[in-house]
Amino acid sequence: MDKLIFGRYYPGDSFVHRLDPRLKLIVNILFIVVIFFLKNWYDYLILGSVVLLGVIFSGVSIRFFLKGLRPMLWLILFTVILQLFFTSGETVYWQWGWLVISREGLINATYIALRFLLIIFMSTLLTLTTQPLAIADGLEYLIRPLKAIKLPVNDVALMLSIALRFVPKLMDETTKIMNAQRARGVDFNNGSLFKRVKALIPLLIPLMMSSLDIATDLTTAMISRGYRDGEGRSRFRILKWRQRDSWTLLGFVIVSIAVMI
Amino acid sequence: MDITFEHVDYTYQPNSPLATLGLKDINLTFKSGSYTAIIGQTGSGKSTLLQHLNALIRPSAGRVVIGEQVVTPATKNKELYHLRRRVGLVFQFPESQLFEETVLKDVAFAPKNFGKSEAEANEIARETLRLVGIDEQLEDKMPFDLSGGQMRRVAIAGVLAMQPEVLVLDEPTAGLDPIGREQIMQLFERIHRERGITIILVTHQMDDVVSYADQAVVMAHGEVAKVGTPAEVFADLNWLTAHNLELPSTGRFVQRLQQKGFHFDQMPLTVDELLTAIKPQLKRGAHVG
Repeated sequence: MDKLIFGRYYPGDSFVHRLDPRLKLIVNILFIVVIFFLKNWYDYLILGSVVLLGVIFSGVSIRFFLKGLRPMLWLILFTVILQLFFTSGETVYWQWGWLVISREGLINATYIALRFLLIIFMSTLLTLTTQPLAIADGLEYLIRPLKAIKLPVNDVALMLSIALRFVPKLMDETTKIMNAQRARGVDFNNGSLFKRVKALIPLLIPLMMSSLDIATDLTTAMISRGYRDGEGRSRFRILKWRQRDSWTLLGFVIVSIAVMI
Repeated sequence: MDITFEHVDYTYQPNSPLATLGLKDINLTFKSGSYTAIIGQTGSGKSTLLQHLNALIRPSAGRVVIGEQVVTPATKNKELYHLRRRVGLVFQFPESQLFEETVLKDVAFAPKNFGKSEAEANEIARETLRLVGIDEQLEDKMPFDLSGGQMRRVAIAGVLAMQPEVLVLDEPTAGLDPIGREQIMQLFERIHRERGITIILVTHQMDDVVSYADQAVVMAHGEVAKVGTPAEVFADLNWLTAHNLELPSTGRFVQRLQQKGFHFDQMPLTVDELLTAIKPQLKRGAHVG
C-alpha cells in the first residue's frame, strides 16, 4: 500500500496548492476532453508543456510523479502494444502473419502512450496538491446544478467526505486484522487461487462488521450533535475563488482552444 | 522457549523519503517461563517490538532468536509458519478478529489452520472456552451476539487454542470494566503458573506490572530505556515521572508521603510492603508531629 502515490496528498504551499479545488477539478475534466482532440505533434508539445508548468509550479519533485506512474505501467504497455501490432495502415514496416507494424500503428501507439502519460500526470497533480476534503468540497459545489434533476447533492457530498475520511482508518484496520489472522495461522500469500480467496473470508467479515460498528457509532454521534439532514446548514470551510483562479482558467481555456483548432 | 533480541533495528518504509526508525539497537532476553511487562509512552515502539516476537515483521538489522529459529532480515516467510503456532499473539481489541458463524468454530479456527483434525480442534476449542470461562450454552451462538467482555474472552481463547508456548498480549484489558479486567489478568496468571507459558505483556496499568510481572522493560523512542525486576524499574520515582510514565498506585502514595517527611529505604510496591514500611515510622511520627 505504501507504493501507491496516486491519490496521496503531498503537503505544501505552492502556487498550485493554493489554487481553488474547483478550478483544479474543472481543469482536469477539460484536460481529459481536450486530450482526445489533439491531432498533431505540436498540440502534444503544447499540452505537455502546460502539464510540465503545472508540475514545476507545484513544487513537488518530478520523481513523485514518475513513481505514481509505476502501477499503471503494465496497463500502458498493454494498450500500446495492442495498438502497435493491430493497427493496419498503408506503409508497412514489418509483418509476420497477422502481426503488423505500420507507420499508422506506430503513430497511434505513441499518441496513446502520451495521452496516458499526460492524463496520469495531470490527475496526480490534482491529488498531490489538494487535500481530500477540499476535493470533496469542490465536487459538491460542481454537482450543485444537479439538484434540478432531484439529485440529493448534500447527501452525496456528505457520503463522499465521510468515505474519504475513513479510507486511512479502514486501511489501518485491514492491516491489523490481517496480522491478527496471520498470527492464527492464515496464509494470505501462498496456495492455490481457491485457497487464497478462502483466506480472505477471515479478513473481509471482520472488516464488514467493524465498518457496521463504525457506521452505527458515527450516526449516533452525528444525531446527538444535532445533525438532521443536509438542508439548511451553514458551512465552516468556505471555498474562495480568487483572481489567480480566473487567470489560470482563462489561460487554460485559451491554450485548449488553440490546440483544438 | 527463550526469545532473544540481538542488536535489532527496525525501519518503517525503508529507502523512501518517509522512512522512520521504529526500533534502535534492541538487546533483550525473554526467558522461558518468565512473565515480562513492557511499558512506555504511546509511540515508543512497544507494538513494533511485539510483532517481532512471532516474526510478523522481520528486523531491518540484527537478529531475533526464537527457540531454535533465527529470524534475520533475509528469513523467508515460509520458514516462519510453525513459529506462529508456538508464539500466540493477542492484539489490542482482539474481538475485531472474530468472523466464524459460531463461537466454537472461531476458537477451533487456529488449531485447524495448524493441522488438527476437525474433531481434535473442536475438542481443544471446548476445553479452551471452559478455561476462559465461557459457558457451554454460548458455544453455538454467533460471536457478534455476545457482550463486549465475552467477545474478548472468545478472541483470547482463539489464540490460546493454538496451545502456544509463549503468549504475547498487547493491552489485553483495554476498555474492560474493573471486574472483567481483574478476571482476565487472573486468567493469564493461572495459565502462566499452571502451564508454564511465557507471558509478554504490553500495558499502561502499572499495578498489573507490579502484581504479575517478574521482569519489566521500559521503552522510550524506539530504544530500551531500562530493564529489570519491577522493584528495580520502579525504584526511582523521579526517573519514571521524567519519562512520562505513570506510577503504580502505591508509588503515587509513597511520593506524597515522602513530601511529608517519610523515608523509604526500598521502594514498596504492594500495599503490604507499604504497610510494613510505614508502620514503624508512624509511631515515630507521633511525637515528631
